[in-house]
Amino acid sequence: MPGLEAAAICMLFVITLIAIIGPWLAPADPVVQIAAPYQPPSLRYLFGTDEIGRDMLTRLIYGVRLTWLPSLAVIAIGVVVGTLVGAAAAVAAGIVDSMLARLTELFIVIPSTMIALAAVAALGPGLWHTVAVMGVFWWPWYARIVRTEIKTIATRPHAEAARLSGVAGLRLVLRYLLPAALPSLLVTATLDVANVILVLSLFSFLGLGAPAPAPELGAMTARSLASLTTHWWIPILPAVAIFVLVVTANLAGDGLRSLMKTV
Amino acid sequence: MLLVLLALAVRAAPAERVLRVAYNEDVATFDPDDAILLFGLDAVRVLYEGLVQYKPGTTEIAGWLAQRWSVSPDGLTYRFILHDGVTFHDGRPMTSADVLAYFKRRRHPTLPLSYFLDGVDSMSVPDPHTFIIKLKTPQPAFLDRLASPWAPKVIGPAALVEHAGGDLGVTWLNDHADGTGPFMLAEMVRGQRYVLVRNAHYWGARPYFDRIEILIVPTMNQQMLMLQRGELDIIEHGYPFDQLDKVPAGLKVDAHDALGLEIAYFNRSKALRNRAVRTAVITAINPARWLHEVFGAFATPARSLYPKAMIRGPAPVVFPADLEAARRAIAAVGGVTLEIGYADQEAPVQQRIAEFMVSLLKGIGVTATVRSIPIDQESSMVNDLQRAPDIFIAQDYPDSVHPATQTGVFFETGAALNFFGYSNPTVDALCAQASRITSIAERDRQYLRISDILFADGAFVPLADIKDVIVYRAGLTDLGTRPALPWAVDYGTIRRQ
Amino acid sequence: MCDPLGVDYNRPLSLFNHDEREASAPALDVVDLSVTLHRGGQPNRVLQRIAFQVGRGEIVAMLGESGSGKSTLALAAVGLLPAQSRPIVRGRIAIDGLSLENGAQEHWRRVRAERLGIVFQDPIGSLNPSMRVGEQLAEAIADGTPPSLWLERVGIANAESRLRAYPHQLSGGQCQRVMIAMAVAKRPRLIIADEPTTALDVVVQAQILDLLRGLAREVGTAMLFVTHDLAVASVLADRIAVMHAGRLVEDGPAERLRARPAHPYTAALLGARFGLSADRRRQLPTVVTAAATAHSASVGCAFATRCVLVTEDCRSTRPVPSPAHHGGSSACFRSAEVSADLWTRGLPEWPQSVATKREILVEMAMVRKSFAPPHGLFGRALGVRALEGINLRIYRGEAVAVVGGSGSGKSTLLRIAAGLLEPDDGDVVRARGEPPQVIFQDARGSLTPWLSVGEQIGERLRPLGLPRAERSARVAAALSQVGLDPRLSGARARDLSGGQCQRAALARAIAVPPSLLLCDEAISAMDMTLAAAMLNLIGRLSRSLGMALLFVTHDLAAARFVANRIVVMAAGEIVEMGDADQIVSSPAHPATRALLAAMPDRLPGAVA
Repeated sequence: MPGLEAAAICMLFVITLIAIIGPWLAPADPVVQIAAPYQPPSLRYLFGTDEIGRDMLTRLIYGVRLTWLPSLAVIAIGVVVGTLVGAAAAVAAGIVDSMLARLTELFIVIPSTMIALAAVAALGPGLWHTVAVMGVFWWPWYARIVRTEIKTIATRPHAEAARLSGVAGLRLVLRYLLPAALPSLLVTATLDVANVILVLSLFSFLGLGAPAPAPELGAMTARSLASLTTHWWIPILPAVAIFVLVVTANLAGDGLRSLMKTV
Repeated sequence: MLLVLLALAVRAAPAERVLRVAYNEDVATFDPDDAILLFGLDAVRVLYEGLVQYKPGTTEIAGWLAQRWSVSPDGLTYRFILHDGVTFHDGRPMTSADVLAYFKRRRHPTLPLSYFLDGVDSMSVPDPHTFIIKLKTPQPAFLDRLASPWAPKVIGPAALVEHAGGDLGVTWLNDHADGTGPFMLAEMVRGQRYVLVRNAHYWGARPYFDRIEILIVPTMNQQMLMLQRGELDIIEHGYPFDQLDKVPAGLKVDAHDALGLEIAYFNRSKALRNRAVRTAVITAINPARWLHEVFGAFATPARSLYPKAMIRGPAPVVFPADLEAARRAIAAVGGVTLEIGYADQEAPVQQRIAEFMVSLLKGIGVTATVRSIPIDQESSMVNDLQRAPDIFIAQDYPDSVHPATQTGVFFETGAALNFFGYSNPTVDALCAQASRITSIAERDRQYLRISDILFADGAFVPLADIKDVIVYRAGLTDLGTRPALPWAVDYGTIRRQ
Repeated sequence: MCDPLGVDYNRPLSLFNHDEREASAPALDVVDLSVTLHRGGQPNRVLQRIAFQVGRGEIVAMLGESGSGKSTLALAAVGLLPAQSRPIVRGRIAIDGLSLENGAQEHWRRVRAERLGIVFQDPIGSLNPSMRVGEQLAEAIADGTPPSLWLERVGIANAESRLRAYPHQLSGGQCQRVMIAMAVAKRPRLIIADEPTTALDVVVQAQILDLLRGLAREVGTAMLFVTHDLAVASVLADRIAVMHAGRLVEDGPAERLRARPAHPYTAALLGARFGLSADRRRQLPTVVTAAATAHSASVGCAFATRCVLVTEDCRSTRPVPSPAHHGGSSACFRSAEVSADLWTRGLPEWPQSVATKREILVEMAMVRKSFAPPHGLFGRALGVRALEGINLRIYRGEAVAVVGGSGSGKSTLLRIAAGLLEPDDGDVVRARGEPPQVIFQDARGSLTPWLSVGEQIGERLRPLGLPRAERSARVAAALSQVGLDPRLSGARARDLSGGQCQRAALARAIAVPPSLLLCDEAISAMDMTLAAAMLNLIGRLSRSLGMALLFVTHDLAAARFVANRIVVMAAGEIVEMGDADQIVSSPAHPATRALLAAMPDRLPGAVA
């Protein structure tokens, strides 16, 4: 695996670490003024201060936390629900399979972002509202993957051999069928992180998601665009952070995919 | 002979004088009885004219359509003598009968600004130049009401009769105008621009400009660029405060006192029910701690719950200063969580104020979040106080310079901008009483007492007097701004040197 | 630029045909050829100092098992070694006198276009899927004969209409015939064929071999035919060259080599190949463990570890090819002592079967099964009838072989007997006892990739509720019984060779010995020696564990060797059933006769 992709996988862990220990890592409070507003980046304030005089470095660290952890949560919900639905559909077959397949297609076809927007707007802005709603729309892709993989593998000789060994029911699915889907799931999930990050940023941009003055990266960029020419670090640094997160996730996904091929 | 002709030809076609301004968004209408927003008043006041107006740069009342007027000793009868030769945009002459017809229309209960004529008993026109209004009870504020930017302004029969259309001409007036003012509405392309052209028949002084082009430019950045490039002449509102000290060459700044007072409204049905908590919060959000960061030299701490151009309080409001006590009070209740709402249409500035407050509140142990409230939800906050924010900050304008219009808009029971439904019968009674006082000094004293009561009650917190700031291209003069006229220059008087 | 022969590469190749110097050049001349390929960054010496010739118009079979390097040789001879293996080629390859071993791609392309005919293993994949068959054929034809004529010559019916077909619309056999037509039609000097019939049905295979040989003779083309099947080699070739561990160990005239080989390895191949007359009472000779590859034994003879004639010399010095008694060459110090029955003397007999009672294990009555119709341009409205009214009994301890061509329904029968499929109609009655177990054709595919072998074997032991230590012991015992090192218990399928995978599957099957063991073409994909070892193993185990055997195969020789009773199927029905020897010696049904006739040792020109 090329060095770049290996580095990306390491970065993934670093980012997750930062996201988790963020509050202990950050030098200041993200909502409290610590210096005069509009200070440019300097040795004292590494990323400068924003329009309220808050430390940009702190806000970026909290911002990564606010973007990364919910993204992982959405993916986790999607994978878990999708696996359950996909496995159930593949194993049950017949009418249950048809119904679940139609349900999955329905979710894929409807304009999920718009409906999610409407749902979150109705529930009221709030980070976990957004995560829950997005999770509801994220699982269909994974259900499809799991269903296809399980259906494919069920016809292979080793599945027949397992049945002949007397394995049935849950044990058959969990031990002999589901693991076939894991490589695909893993790779898709990693590549999907980028999508989730972008959608979450979109939500914040539009004012949904975590309420202000929470340092959500998308919201920070959107609000301070007007200062692009005068105080460039306020909109550009959060945008760069989003970019780094998305690119890292994508590269890591590519790396995992090539890793899976050798397995 | 040829030279004379040439000279005539040149003289006959002078270059058209155009003034370009910008709005952030479309106006709903220029109908003076239906237009209730703060912007667009600049156009309304040159399309239509009222009986009286404020003199430029002052809070003094001068005549407009009325050349002079008198008030009966009992304060009930107002008699206006109208100017000669006033015509509507289509050339038809205006008489007192037209004025009466219009005022009747104004009073119609379906129109949102009809309340201006509450308390009017009867109106009459003894002759074509005289218009008489008789009140039920004396209203010392009545003349101020008539001078307000939202005051009745005479609309002509083209709208009220020919195009009445069964809804008093409201629909027709969304896109057309029929007034007596120095400009006519030539073009109204929503989303793009509105064009006012000079009224050739105008009865009064000829304005300098032939054309006013109002462009719809949603983003302030864009407006600023256009102003710099000369595609706009004026930005009447919204220029970022932190850039006012470094406007590019060729641009000038006009900052004048106005009636826009920044107030914090407290929702006392949730976390702020507790008086000690309220006091602690007020300690933290003391404007002295953030005013300069947000406004620089363009705002001063409030002196009372009235704008200083209305009543100049003796000194800036005294805020409690003991932050330690505030911290202890919050700790005593185990911490407090608040939501601060702000008016969405003034987002950049109001959001900054709100976030400064968040920062200061954190210092006393209060966790706060910030939420923008769209304009159509402002009036419904009172219906569901549990879901409404704990604090709402806004900068709003009273109808006129008279304090009765301040209390009547903000503090009295059921007032339009009484966002959290504060209701205090004592205060209501005091307001009614004060509104009847004719002596200005006495009246002001009374009103200041009301302000103290309200502040002590912890329902309204006066924060700042913010100047109206107009950024314009050098060379323009006689802007004609008035404290009572928000966000507007006078297109009738403005000219290029 | 000229080569050592003075050949000018810039002249159009076709003019070379008139060059006198080449009139006597062999079609293929390989001298001291060594090829190193890189896999996973590691270099492997796949071919070591190979030297042989294919004369003009001669047919040479290159015989070898997996790992011998025969496919690499075929690729090297056509200049198609994969670039990502970063091949290093030393020595000389000359086609029709043209030295090409270090030639540029451009030269190779021209040679391939004008002088070589290539027939490789995957018929459908070798044709251009987006071009009609007729167009592709027309491109190859060198002498202006119409394409339809060539299709007729290769035995495709309705030649005119078939010209307009696309490759995916033809069967595997038809595609391979088209490939052959294309290869021969360009009138090449040399045809190189690499296992062109392995993917085909046995009956079709026989026809293709017949065709290839006939055409080659007719056109006067030389042919290098790479295969692992000695029977095929002996039917087809004038000469046989045997490869083992990257080296050429023997090279000689086909008939004489078969009658008396000159290398112990060749003798082992001969011995492992069981024909219709193999001794059923004895086990097959086997060369123990999997085939060696070139990176074993850099000193001494690569076959030394397994050879019955091995001496100290063999271990310390590498024998080089030297003249042998049959007129060819052999790389063995003791080649004079080799004979055809070198390995078949003194073979052990079968153990006694422990099954005594004659009771019915499985009874199938009037079983029918059909599948949904296939999609495709020619999809018909009828459902595919896989089985029609099958009546079959299998008795405890007996070995039954089910033979038939592809599409006869034998695999479906096996699955219904095993309980993997339910019949649409009819009954399947089973006696009480352990449920049946199956060994599949795709051994690696029958093992779950992410579980270790030990875990899968242990799965069968779960219902017994044994404590962990005892379970591990039984897993180890099962592995030993099938000849695998118990330490492989923790290995996964990808760590094992094909033969080891099939043994592991067998271990899983017998961990709790079933009353019926079903084998679905279990040895069809294997090398001869490996297949022989498996047959021995299955034979020993079924007797010692008292298991009945249902052995599905297309190979009548294997069927006869394994079973007492042969059941012949065609088109979903049982057409003939009876004692194994009798079926083979006097077949009644046409289908049976066709199967017999298709066996390579029965083709005309073969030595029985």
